[in-house]
Amino acid sequence: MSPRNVAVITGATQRLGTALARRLAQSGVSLALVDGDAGALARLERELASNRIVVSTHVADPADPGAAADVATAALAVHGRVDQLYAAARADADRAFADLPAGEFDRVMAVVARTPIALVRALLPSLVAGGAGRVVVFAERSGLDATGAGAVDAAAHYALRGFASGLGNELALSGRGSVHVVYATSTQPPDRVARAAIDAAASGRRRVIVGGAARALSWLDRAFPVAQSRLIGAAARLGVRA
Amino acid sequence: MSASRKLAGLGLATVALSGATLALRRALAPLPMALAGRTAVITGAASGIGRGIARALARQGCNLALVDRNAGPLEALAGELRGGPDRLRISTHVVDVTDAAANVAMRDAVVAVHHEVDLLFNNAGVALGGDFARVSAAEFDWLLGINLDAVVDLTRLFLPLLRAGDDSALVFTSSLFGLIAPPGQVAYSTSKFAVRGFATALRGELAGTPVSVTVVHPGGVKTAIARDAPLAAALKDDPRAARERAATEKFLRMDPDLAGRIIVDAVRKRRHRVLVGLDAKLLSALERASPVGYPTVMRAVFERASARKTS
Repeated sequence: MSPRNVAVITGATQRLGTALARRLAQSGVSLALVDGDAGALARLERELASNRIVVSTHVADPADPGAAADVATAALAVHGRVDQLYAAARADADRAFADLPAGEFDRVMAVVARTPIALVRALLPSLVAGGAGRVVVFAERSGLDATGAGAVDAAAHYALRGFASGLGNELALSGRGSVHVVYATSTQPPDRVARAAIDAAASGRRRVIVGGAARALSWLDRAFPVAQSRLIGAAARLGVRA
Repeated sequence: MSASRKLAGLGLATVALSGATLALRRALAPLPMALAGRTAVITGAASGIGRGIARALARQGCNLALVDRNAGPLEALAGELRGGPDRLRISTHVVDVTDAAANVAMRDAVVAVHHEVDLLFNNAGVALGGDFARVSAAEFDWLLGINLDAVVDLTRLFLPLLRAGDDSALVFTSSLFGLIAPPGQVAYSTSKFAVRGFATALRGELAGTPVSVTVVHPGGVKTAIARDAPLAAALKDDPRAARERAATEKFLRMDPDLAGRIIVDAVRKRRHRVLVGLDAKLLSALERASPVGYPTVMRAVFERASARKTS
């Protein structure tokens, strides 16, 4: 990759974000690291700093879509361009809808969907200016098949999936960039997910499913879209009867 | 001889297997819901698919709480349905569903009139035309507020009432664009995919409770949603956008009353999801066969069809 290649990574101090940052830094990509944790961000910057690449850090609350425009402006001020965006910030929200306080839906939607969408909006002109911008999002397992997921978690990851598919289809028409959606179960090692994501951005694969379990889930969902929820429903009814 | 015998055996096995599968499905299928005397809340009831649902429910003897922001058409519909032979209890509620306080007041008003709620149709929705790059953040948020946030808010408000019943249904109007995400509809697909994910996960959470969940994916239904959809401000004077809108409207063909009947029948049978219209069925199958390649196939078919029309 050209040394002038620049990637923005959100959730940079979380496990997936850090794995992405290490791999990209190794291959000579300059980095704009975004996270809410200033201390951890500074430590990661010290670890990755080298004279081969430029590393900048940007402290921003992942649950505040309004901060995305400032992050984009600051990153562009340092690097002058952005070629790749990895929206890797995560929100732990695998709880039942009935148990969640009202504000929790807004927080999860912000971290998983609204902030990445706002960041894509702010960075899109720069991403397509180079003619081959890459947007990579992580729809995880609950975005692949919502059966059995928490309802708020599923809503947010499906929102991200719908956004990424739609924008990907628009960019495919213009040929000036691409959107890549990575689906992985939470048991997958972050470094494996990071490698799959970076490979997809390099090869142009738009839909990436990491791990055998997620792949099986995807095939099952495509072949029988309601089979899983039917089985759960039937089991619950039998359980109620017994 | 032995080859034809093998073939006959294979045919017989296939028939037996499909028969067994069908029988199993029948055995596992729950009893249909009795709608007479129940109470349903419908948002976006004054027009389009919502009105179709209201008319189909009224025909089954279901009492209705009709919710919409447009008072005139809402009262007209209530008048029409009150005139039926069943002496149904019909209430109207003029509400902007993005107003959380108004939603609470509406829920309380519904309970005051009907005392219980058995079905909630989360149906109100808006569309918005334009490529993502030309849709402003405010426009995108406006759409998500109506199509997603309000749906989650109303579900939270009514779920305790549904769970308190003995046989209830929670229904979500997603869209064909909750299954596929064509260019020019990014905000709409974002909201409708989210509704699909929310509904599917919620069904799992509610397994074993009296609440069944149905998610609806209508294809092109002849409603005002596309005509009423604001075009992104940045596209107001773009002739290409106007042409695309006219082309989209040509695909909105199904009678909304028929869509309403299909939806109510599916809810009655506790179907988990319902694809309304042949276009929704075909395009859903295409997306499942080719999750990345479907827009290319759609565009090729669309262009061939337009070329045939003009030649």
